[in-house]
Amino acid sequence: MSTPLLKIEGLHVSVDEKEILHGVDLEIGAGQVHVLMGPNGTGKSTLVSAVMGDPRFTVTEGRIYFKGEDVTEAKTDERARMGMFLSFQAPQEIPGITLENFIRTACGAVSGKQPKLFAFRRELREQMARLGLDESYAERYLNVGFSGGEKKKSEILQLLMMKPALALLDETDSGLDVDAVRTVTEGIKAWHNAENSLLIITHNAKILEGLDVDHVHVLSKGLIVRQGGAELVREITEGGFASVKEED
Amino acid sequence: MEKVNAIPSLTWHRLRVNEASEKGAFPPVPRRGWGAGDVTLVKVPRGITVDEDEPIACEELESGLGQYGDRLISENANSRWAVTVEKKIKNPLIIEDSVAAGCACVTCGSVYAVAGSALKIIHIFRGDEGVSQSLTRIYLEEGAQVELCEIQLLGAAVSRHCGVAAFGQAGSQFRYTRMELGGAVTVCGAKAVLSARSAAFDMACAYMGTGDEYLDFNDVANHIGRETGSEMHVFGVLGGTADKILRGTIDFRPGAGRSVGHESESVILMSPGVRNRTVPLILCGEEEVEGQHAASAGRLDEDALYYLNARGISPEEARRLMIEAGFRPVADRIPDAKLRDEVLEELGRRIASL
Ligand SMILES: Nc1ncnc2c1ncn2[C@@H]1O[C@H](COP(=O)(O)OP(=O)(O)OP(=O)(O)O)[C@@H](O)[C@H]1O
Ligand SMILES: [Mg+2]
Repeated sequence: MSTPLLKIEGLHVSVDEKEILHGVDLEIGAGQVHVLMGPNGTGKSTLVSAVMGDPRFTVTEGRIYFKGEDVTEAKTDERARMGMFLSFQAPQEIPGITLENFIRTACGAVSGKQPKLFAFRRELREQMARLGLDESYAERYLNVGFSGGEKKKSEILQLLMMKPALALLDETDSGLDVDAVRTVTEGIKAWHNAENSLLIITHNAKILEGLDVDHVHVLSKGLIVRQGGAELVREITEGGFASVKEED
Repeated sequence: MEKVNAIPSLTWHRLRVNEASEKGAFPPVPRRGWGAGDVTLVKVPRGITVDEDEPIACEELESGLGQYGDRLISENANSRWAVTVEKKIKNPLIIEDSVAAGCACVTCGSVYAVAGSALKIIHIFRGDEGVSQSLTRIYLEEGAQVELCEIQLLGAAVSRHCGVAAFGQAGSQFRYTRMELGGAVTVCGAKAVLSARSAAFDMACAYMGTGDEYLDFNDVANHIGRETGSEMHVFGVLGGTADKILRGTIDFRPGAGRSVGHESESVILMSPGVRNRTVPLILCGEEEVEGQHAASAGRLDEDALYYLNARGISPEEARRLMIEAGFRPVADRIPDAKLRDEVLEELGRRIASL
């Protein structure tokens, strides 16, 4: 079997001396789509933050491997340059940096060379149109004054432009109206292929429509309590978390 | 009498912030004067008149530096320029001052804007050593619009004093942009007198202080007419053991009813050795006014830096981007694309060496 794209082994994560994750194992193969579900406050965001290397979270035990390399100690920007992408649950607003400038700098950072302006602009326009973001947003300061839904679209726009190997989507669908969820899913589908993978955190099945889900993981109180196929999503959205936990 | 950049009211007597310290004193004028100055009117747009003499209306105006500093500059100036504008001019007037080791450029300039006219001025200051002083006095008749953009790209060994005085009649608009990127000593004072109804003053300033530089700012909006407005917003970054003081005064005089004035400063502190003082002052000689002040000082926002890192941008590059972001809205006010790009490039270089 080939090396998984992401492999998490016995991960314990603490924030402010308090342990949130108590030993999580997870493997994502190339080209796969994984879904992470679980009640509020169980540590889903904590998990993807630790995978991305957020300095506020401390890995006290366990390892994270990406593309076969141990990245447990790697800096966030190194992980991003290796092809990891996190779509934040609450994206930052940064006045003074335009959306276009930001994405161009980010693309330059991950690819190692500054993209050619003309080609870059054309692609940016295309992707913005695909996501239903007005062209004028390219010249606006990053996320400043964007609505909740527009911020999420701005995250997906970055994903589409940066073309990472692994996308971690932390509740990208929350705050999006029904049509916007569909638009975002379409965008994700256009990017997704046999090489790159997805880990989608969601409370809602809508964003998964049209995506071939390979695995579903249920996190509860800092532990993965259930794993299964796409059918788990329906069980949870219809019967709640109580219906799936008992079977563990 | 020899006070420089003095605040209009002596409220903070004990804190020694009422005027520039000795570090901000004017260098002594050589016995034989400053010698030849190097000022060039790089671009003079069609439609303005270049005058021989300074209009009397301008001569009487006082800048934020105060009478003493104004007189030192105007009496010892080695270069002078004066223009009159009578209609709306689209292209900017570009003026360049250059200094070099052992040389001074002491420039006294004036603008007389006739009712309903409009003019943009870009004044650039260059050179690595020497003395750079400027005094710009602007008289705006009714409804006139003047935009002054001062870009200081001096080296770390220049002594710099800069005064701006503006007097606005009814409905006039004075827009002032100041970027101070260098200079061992930087002392700047701008004062706008909003003499009649609806006159407006809009100032955006950005500065950078490194090494052991001393920066002293004294900006004043004098609200005299009714419904006058002032906006004075400042962004700065300080590193090394730089010592900065900013006095920002909004002075609502009796009769300035329904006037509005806002001032703010946001400073990024790059090292624990910097000295950062901000002295906001809002004087209310009138009941029905709105005056507001906001200030923030601190390190770069960790969450924002992390966000940039998560997009593959290295910590050093992220830091540079964040500082540049603070300058950007001020740089965006430069009404010449080529100059703006040059300033941003120079800014990038200076941030890298912070
Ligand atoms: N920076 C932090 N400081 C302190 N506690 C934190 C921090 N981040 C997360 N926590 C705590 O860790 C626990 C897990 O939070 P996390 O955000 O990972 O949950 P989640 O599963 O993503 O929930 P939701 O579905 O609401 O987004 C919570 O109890 C939360 O309060
Ligand atoms: Mg969460």
